[in-house]
Amino acid sequence: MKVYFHYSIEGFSNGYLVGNEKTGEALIVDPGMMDRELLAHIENNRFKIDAVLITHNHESHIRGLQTLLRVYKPRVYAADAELKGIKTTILQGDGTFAASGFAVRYFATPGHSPDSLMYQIENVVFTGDAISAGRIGGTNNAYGKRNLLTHLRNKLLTQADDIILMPGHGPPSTVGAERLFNSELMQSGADETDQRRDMVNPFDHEALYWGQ
Amino acid sequence: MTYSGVMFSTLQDIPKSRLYEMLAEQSVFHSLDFSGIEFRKLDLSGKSFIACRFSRSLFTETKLDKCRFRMCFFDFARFTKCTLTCTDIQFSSFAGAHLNDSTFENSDLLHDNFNGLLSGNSSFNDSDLYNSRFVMATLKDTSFQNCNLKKTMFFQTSRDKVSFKSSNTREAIFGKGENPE
Repeated sequence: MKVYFHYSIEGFSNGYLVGNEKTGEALIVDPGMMDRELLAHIENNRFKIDAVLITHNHESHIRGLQTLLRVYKPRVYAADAELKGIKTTILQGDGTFAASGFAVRYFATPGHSPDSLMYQIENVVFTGDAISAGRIGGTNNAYGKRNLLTHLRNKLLTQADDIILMPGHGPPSTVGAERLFNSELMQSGADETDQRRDMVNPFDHEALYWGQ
Repeated sequence: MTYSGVMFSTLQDIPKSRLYEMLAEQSVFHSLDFSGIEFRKLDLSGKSFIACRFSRSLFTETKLDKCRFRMCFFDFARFTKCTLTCTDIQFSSFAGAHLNDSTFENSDLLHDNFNGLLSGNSSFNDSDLYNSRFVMATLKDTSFQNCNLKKTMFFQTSRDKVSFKSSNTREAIFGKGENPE
């Protein structure tokens, strides 16, 4: 599997091109922008784009969808039935489907938006705006936040620490890092945070500058 | 406007003894697992690493100047007396890493995850930290002078003797009551 990170300055969002070296197929996660650079990655690798995975129906994550569909004819997967007039293959709840020669797992994670999905391919989870490094997705009310936290705890924190997270905004992370450094996810106070820090590294702390 | 693409591939399974040989022989590394390896008094300047893992690796008195890292994971790695000057590190993670007496000066550190970083007597001076994050980081005697901090996130960060002199802190994102101004 090859994953290409594609940053859109409009909306400051991350999109991803995921290529299958064995089959020559590829899929795109959140085409926030379709431009020459992304096109070059696809064409230079001679990828056949057969799927687009949408994490949620927000403009910064689908802005490039119409342009993409003028060039390629992939199936569009989303929880929302229609995106900018484009009919999608609807995904509800959790499940697995095949795309680009990959087994793609999907997880409903409503909270940031009602249609939020995370997608997992091998050891990489594309989280959309459900969670990013050190933060959970923004929600409109307490119910939305509780709902999102419940889904993240049940579907993400149950996975191994070295699972890689590719978010819709900001830098990459891992399940292990979010378990320790995402205070909203842990919903704990400063004292517990300090305890977790002590647990983070098995290294000898004596050599550290702050002399703990 | 978009940003350059990078690659992540499934990690290759190579014995650690062979990895040391490769470090000496090659200048570009793809999808290798250096996790837990000790880098002591090595000069790796000028080398490129793409989609490599360095989780819990130990870097001591090692030079990583003018290196290029893309989509690399240094989670819980430890850097002691290391230099990473003029280094280009993008879309990578240093979550939970320790920096002690190390420098990241004059470097491009874009879209990088420094959450939970424990940094002492270290410097990021003259670096571009666009869209990077320092959530729940502990920074002591750490300098961010003359840095680009646009969209750089400092949330729940513990700071002691941290300097942001000549950096655009107004474009950074601080938690409530955490703004240094």
